[in-house]
Amino acid sequence: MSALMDAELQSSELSQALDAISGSASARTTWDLYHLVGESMRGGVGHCRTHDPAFVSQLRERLQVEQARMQQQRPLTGSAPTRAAQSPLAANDAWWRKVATLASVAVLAVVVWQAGSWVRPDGQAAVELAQTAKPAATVEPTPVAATPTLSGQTMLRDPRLDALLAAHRHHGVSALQVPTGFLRNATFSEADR
Amino acid sequence: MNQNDVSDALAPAMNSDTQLVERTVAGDLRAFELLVIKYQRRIQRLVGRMVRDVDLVEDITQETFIRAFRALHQFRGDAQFYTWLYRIAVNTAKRFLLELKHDPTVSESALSSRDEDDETFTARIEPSTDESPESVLAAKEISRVIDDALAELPTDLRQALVLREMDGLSYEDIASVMGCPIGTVRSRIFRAREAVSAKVRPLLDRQTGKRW
Repeated sequence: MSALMDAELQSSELSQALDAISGSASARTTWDLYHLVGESMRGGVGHCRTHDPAFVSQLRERLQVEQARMQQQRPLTGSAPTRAAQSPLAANDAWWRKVATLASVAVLAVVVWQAGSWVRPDGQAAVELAQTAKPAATVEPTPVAATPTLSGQTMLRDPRLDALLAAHRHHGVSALQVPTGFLRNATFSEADR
Repeated sequence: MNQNDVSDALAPAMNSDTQLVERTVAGDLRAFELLVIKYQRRIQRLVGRMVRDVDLVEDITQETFIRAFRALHQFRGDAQFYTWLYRIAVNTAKRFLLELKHDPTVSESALSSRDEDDETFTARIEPSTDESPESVLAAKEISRVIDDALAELPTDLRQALVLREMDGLSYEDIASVMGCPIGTVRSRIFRAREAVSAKVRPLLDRQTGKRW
């Protein structure tokens, strides 16, 4: 009984202890007394009597009725369901916390790995990305014409870009009548070139 | 939180409550009975501070244990079992009081208006009115006898019991501290408890017949 009180019994021993205690009023009083001694050592004796056997006996009868009623309510289960099966997992359940932690670590690892590949000092990553992004089909080189500008500098002209701008010159001004940033620098107007 | 509740907070982390709860949930009513025996007086004292009618105190205590039994599968073990039971007792008492307030046949004197909203209510060193001076004196006498009995124990028995009850060490840890096998620890703690209980038992027998 002393070891039972300290949760130091194995399952089989626990059954034996319960058998012994349930069959003896003296053992139940001893169980009560052991706890009283423990409470007193921790500075907390607040009563001077052991349990009331009549109270326990009356409660036992009510509990038996209650147990029978509860078993009727779940007749499909042969034995009492486990606590895990009965209680739904809460969001702060230990299992979910582990899952959340693992997921966070995985996400963090991916982010760090990605960031590391971007900031690699030798520029190798950029080369790799450029190589990856290179289209499979080769683009034929476009003839580029050199046109002298008003400032005397030479501007490289792309005939295909010119054709595109010519076809879409009415899109050069937005609905607000303000040229978009891109087309402000790439316009078909001869004067702005 | 009164002194008794404090003692629960200081109790060893690994006690039999969890084991008994699991056993009860698995269908063993005897395990729950041990919990009832362990906590009956404390719950009655708690309810007695909220309700003056002694018959009502017993009814509420019974109802508390019944409700605890019904909800036992929801006990997750995050808190001490007594803390959980305490809440059930307070809520049960409040519900009783609420129902009785609407009952014209119940006198006001049967009900107490003292609020005891939660487990952390203000500690009271002085005894509550539901504890007679005689009971308080008897409890003090028991404490004194236990202290004396502990002082008379052989050192190895006393040390084993103190390490278990006050420091909350497991048998394995106690064996390590005392440099002896676990079986010896188990035996020493048992013998210590037996020796102290033997001194206390006559005092408790004198109180037989009183309600709580």
